[in-house]
Amino acid sequence: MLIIVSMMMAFFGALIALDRTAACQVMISRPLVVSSFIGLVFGNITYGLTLGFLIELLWIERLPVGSSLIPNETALSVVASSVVFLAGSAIGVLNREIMVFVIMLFLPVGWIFQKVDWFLRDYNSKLSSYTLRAVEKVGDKAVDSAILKGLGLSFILHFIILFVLIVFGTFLVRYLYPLLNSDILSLLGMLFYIFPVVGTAAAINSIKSVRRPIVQFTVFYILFVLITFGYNKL
Amino acid sequence: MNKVVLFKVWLRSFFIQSAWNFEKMQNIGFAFSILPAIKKIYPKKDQNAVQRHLSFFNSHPYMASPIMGAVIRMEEEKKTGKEIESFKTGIMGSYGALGDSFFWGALKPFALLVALLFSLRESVWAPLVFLLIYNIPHLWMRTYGLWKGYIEGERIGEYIKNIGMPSWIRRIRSLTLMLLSLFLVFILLLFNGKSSGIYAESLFSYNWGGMSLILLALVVSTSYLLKKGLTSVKIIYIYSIALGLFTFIAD
Repeated sequence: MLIIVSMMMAFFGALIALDRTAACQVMISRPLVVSSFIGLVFGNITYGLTLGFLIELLWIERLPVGSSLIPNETALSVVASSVVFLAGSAIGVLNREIMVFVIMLFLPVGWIFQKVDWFLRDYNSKLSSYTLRAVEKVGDKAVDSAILKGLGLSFILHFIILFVLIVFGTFLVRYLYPLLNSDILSLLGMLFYIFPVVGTAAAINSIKSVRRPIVQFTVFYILFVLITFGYNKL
Repeated sequence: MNKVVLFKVWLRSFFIQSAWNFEKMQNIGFAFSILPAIKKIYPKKDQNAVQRHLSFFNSHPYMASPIMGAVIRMEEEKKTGKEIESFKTGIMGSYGALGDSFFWGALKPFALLVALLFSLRESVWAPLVFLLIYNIPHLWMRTYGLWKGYIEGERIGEYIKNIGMPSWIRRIRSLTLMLLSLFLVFILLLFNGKSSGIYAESLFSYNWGGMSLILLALVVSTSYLLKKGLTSVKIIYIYSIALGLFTFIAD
């Protein structure tokens, strides 16, 4: 059962990962969307939404500008969400602590797929040189074929690696999570609240071309706190 | 150029980055996108027309659509390969920078933040709200941009200038800052047990005036750490180690 569900999740993940750079870019690959969808599949959209929320906050300031390659948040969302629901249902735990634990454990997945993206772009460079030569021989079909090869390789690589990581991750979390003592669990519970703080700071730093964003933010924040405080007093 | 051909170009433009590479970047994607139009303009297969569009091309994926439209018009007007190449080279960089600033740097964080506010209330509409806010301008640029590029041809630069994207960028970013402060206030309310749901916890219900300042201090210090070159992920790990040590010592 685990293998079949993991294959389905890896298939979905590989397909949705194409949206990140290779095709469409309608942003269905964002963690908030991916994790919510996985949550919906597993029958708990609220937890899916929360997972997406936490991952999204860590990536909010990272912009794929120009030729820069950033760690892959889509792959992390697919792996983390699938593992939370698969391992969580196996050990009978679905709470904030397991979500934070899984995200912290699988953050390096983003870097693994950054390397995959690097490899794909390198492969595409060879594909580009080949296409230039092939157009002379076979005509414009070479261009169509290059696009299919680019998409195909991206899908296959993502599918295989996601599948391995989901299966491995589920076994790992099923084994590790019950070993955590109450101190570590309460630490994970506290970390749940650190994510929005880090996300807010990251988002402020990503705002360019606005004068002193941190000062403007502070002014607005104090204003809103006073309004809310006043409202609650009334 | 008939609309069916332009529709095919529009559909293919969604794959402009499918073979993105370090050498010539979006060259294959650009050639792939405008191929239906090239076939229409040159019914007797002209490999030169295809090949010249396999040269270096790099712009923002959405902003490439007006360029495609303009290039199709230029091909139709039988402009020389040199003229078309020089037009593409001249415009792709500035369009790329504008697209990066508007779509990646302003619209995406704004749309995400609105959706995150929805998700704090555990609204299942959050992902849809994000997709809607983000994709209306995105699809408008892809669709109307392509059409306008085809209509305006080489003058497409003027049109984009007239939209006033830089001023929109500033407005959206200011609004994002305001929403961010609102977001933190919502977090404060959740910490305070003033809300219900998965995020709610009466962690600091005894002193929420002080808590609001602690939260602000945390955000400001995290912002400082980020400016010093640390990433959000590293900061999360640092905070977890610090919290762990603090809990251990307190025990």
